[in-house]
Amino acid sequence: MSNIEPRLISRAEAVARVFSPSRLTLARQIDGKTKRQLAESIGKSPAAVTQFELGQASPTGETLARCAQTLSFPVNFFEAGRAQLSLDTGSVHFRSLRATRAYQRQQAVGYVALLWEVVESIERFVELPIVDLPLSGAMRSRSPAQAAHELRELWGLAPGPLPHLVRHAEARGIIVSVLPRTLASESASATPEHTSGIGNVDAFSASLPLRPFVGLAGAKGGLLRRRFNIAHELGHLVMHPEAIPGDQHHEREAHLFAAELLMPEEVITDELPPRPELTSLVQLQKRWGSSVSALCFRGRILGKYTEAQQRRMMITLNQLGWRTNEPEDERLLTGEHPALLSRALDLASSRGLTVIALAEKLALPPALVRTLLGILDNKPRLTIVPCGPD
Amino acid sequence: MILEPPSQPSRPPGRERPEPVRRLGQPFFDNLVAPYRPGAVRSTLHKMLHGQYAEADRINKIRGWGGAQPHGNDRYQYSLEQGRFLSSNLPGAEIQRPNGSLLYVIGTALIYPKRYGEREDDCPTFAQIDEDSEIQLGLADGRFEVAPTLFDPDPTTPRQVVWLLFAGNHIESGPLAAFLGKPGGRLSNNRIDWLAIEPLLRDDVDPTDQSSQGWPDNSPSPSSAPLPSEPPLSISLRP
Repeated sequence: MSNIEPRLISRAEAVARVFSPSRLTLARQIDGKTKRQLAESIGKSPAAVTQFELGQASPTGETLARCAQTLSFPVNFFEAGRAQLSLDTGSVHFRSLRATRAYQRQQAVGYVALLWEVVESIERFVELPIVDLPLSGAMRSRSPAQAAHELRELWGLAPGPLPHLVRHAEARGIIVSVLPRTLASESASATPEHTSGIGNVDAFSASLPLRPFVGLAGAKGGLLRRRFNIAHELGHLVMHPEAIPGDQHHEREAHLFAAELLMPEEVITDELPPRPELTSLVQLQKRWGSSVSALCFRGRILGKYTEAQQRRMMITLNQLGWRTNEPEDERLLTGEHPALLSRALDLASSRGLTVIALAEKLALPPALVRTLLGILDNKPRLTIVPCGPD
Repeated sequence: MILEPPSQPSRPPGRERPEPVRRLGQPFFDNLVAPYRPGAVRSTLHKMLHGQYAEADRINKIRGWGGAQPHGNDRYQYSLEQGRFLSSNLPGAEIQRPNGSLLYVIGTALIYPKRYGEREDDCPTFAQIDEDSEIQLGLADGRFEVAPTLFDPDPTTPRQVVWLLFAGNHIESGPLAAFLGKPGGRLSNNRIDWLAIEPLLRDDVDPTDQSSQGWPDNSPSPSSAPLPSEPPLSISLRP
């Protein structure tokens, strides 16, 4: 176990007096660690960590400093007295639930809690777009296709391809965030299992207080997949006000909603080639911003392709490796990167709210704040060039 | 019995031949095989021809007898076995066998392999079609029709017929030369009126390149229509 700086211990001793058990749970979940793993890292028993998180015992300054170091959070993150979003994994729509481990779901929910704090801080300075999404279950009784059609009408979208889906969602007040590849520190102490971050969570959504939220996997799939995922999550938000995570019926409805939102039947039917052919579907992929497999799925649902034809195309896509990594023309997908929060912070910077100020206010690492806001790190890379003896 | 060593295929003495055609018309092939990398398609086709000759040569050596005909049979039989090679190099491409014939389907190209001569300096425009072959007659006109079936009721996908013309023989092996031809109809001497001919291999294609797997190329298209502008984000500072 590494030594802790006396200055950090001294600071941690002060924080330990106003220690918030739920902040420790949150930090641990975001880092993707089990209680046992945290306990091993800080030299305590798992039972002790449980007691800390339940508020049955308080950590010493040194223990808290070790927690902060292990979980890569500033020590004052663990101070009590801040509002914290209470969201459990049962109130969030998760895709690919069967492939998602419990710690990954907790990690994702922890991420949302932090994002909520960031959004709340920004909204004190900036008015974000008014939410324009029927969230009260008004579309509950609609078929997925009807609901998608109504949403297009509500948003004033003409039938046809729907570019910039992420930007459309943001313009309607929906917070879209791309989950980091790993929320855990890059430290060597993290096990390989956890450095994969929340890789199995494809996308998830929740109706937060004030604003709906869609989280998208950063590590999985490209922008075409991201588009389908956000359309899928919009389907959950408008049709399924009560989340039943992993429910197959809900998942299928959200899939059909996404297919109709991105590829409306009245237009796509005539454009799909008579047979699912790679060459033609790649052209449609560029026009519609939907992956070849999604187009093929659409053709199958619309009765244009047989199951055998779709299966055959899937085999080809598997051979190509396109099921997980389909080449895409990024120039056509520029509006699929979230921008709302970073632009809002740009605006708020004139009132002194910068990344650093926000990080200090929320006691978060600045890098994590940048990630939450979707700000790409453009720092120049320095390379050390070895010099010869002369 | 003593087997005589095979001799080079000889050209009848005293017959002057015109300079063989190596290019004709405008290049056409690369556009047809999008979204594959054209170089990989060309390389794969060349490797397939080379593989056919190499296999026929190998069997010929084991057999120890026979001339051009069994060598040609072996070459053809082996070509029927190359479907896996084709699809592993060019996923989605396939071999079709209408009425016992053989065609490669790559992108929107329907490629018909045809040996046009024995020697490297034979002219591909001398390729002779078999007037008893309905498929060849149709392919000479650039036509290829598949009858609808119960499982494939609408098989009429527009494709461009391309002839893969190659030269080789059972002594020197092959392919000694190979071209891609775009047919424009049948001539009266059972030859084809070629709209375009281009060499199979270009300078930038290495036929021995083992890494040239032809994953479809989906790079940005310069002709893509401009996107509509993004919807504006309505944000403002609070008073």
